[in-house]
Amino acid sequence: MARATDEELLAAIAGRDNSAGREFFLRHRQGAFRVAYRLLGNEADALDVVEEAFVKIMKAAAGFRGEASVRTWFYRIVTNTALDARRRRSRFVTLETGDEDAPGPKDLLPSREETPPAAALRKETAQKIREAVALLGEKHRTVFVLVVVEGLSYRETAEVLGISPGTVMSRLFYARKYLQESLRKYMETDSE
Amino acid sequence: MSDCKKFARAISAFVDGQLDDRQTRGLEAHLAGCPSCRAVLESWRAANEAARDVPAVDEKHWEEIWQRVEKRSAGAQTPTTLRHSAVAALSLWRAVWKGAAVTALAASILLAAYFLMRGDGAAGRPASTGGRFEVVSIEVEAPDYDVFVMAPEEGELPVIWLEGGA
Repeated sequence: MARATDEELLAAIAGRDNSAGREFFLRHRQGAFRVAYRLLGNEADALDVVEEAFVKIMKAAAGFRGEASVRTWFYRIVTNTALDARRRRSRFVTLETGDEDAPGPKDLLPSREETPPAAALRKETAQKIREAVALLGEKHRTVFVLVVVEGLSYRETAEVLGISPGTVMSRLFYARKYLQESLRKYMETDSE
Repeated sequence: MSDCKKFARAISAFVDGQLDDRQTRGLEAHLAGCPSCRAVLESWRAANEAARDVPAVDEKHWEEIWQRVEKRSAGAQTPTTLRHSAVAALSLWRAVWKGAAVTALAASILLAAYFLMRGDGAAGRPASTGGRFEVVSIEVEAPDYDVFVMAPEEGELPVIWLEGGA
């Protein structure tokens, strides 16, 4: 039997078909988790967002009219749910984290005395990159996550966020410039 | 150097696979002779790889999440398990629709009265024309009402009343 399309699954979910809901969940839970995890930075919060987003999706399936693709519709719900959760959480932790749009890149860099083996350095570099991504401002981080982590095109990302593809391209470029600056010394050390 | 600045945005789009063939050829020609831009490209690719790496979630966790999703979404769609806020919202909508139906009915009656007084019967057909009492048939959204119109003598106000309705 042919595999049902996402559109067909949403129609079946709207008709209260629980097996269709489960199939949709199995197909897209990882994508939802990756976005939520990279936007929120921890597993427990990300899983809460996944649950909340899928509840919304199950309830909203009947309202899906196909004006956007299922992919952009789905990521819009997940992204908005994650950003809402992050904003709610930030009310309680602002004093601890400070201004996230003005992170201190120096905190991310290793001291010059460190000379770990190459493999460990790469692993540590990857960790520092993830930390730097977490310190990007919300707008830049969201675009970065949708394009880089989930592989959405600039046009799809623009549809998800309600911005132009040019703005997507610009935000990505500046996100990368920031990451590059944050990690410059790491890259230099790694290439030596 | 000015070339590198020009190509920086193209490298970002290239990493995302968003350049067309012509743009890609132009960038690759530049990269072939520019170690600095190649280093930028590699660092951005490394950032992509690192960002894509997320922890694996235990299947048991996924199952628990799905069970909660199923329960919560099914509960919201079943009228008998509606939350208090949903019940209140539903009652409000009923009241709004009822009000709208009565308003439409009243407007229809006034129109009927107007046309009756003009005597052309455009809004309804008199069921009885004996004397001054008229029963008017009007198609409205509230079928539970019967409309009665007392046609007055010339110069008097018409009397209109309803019978029935919820």
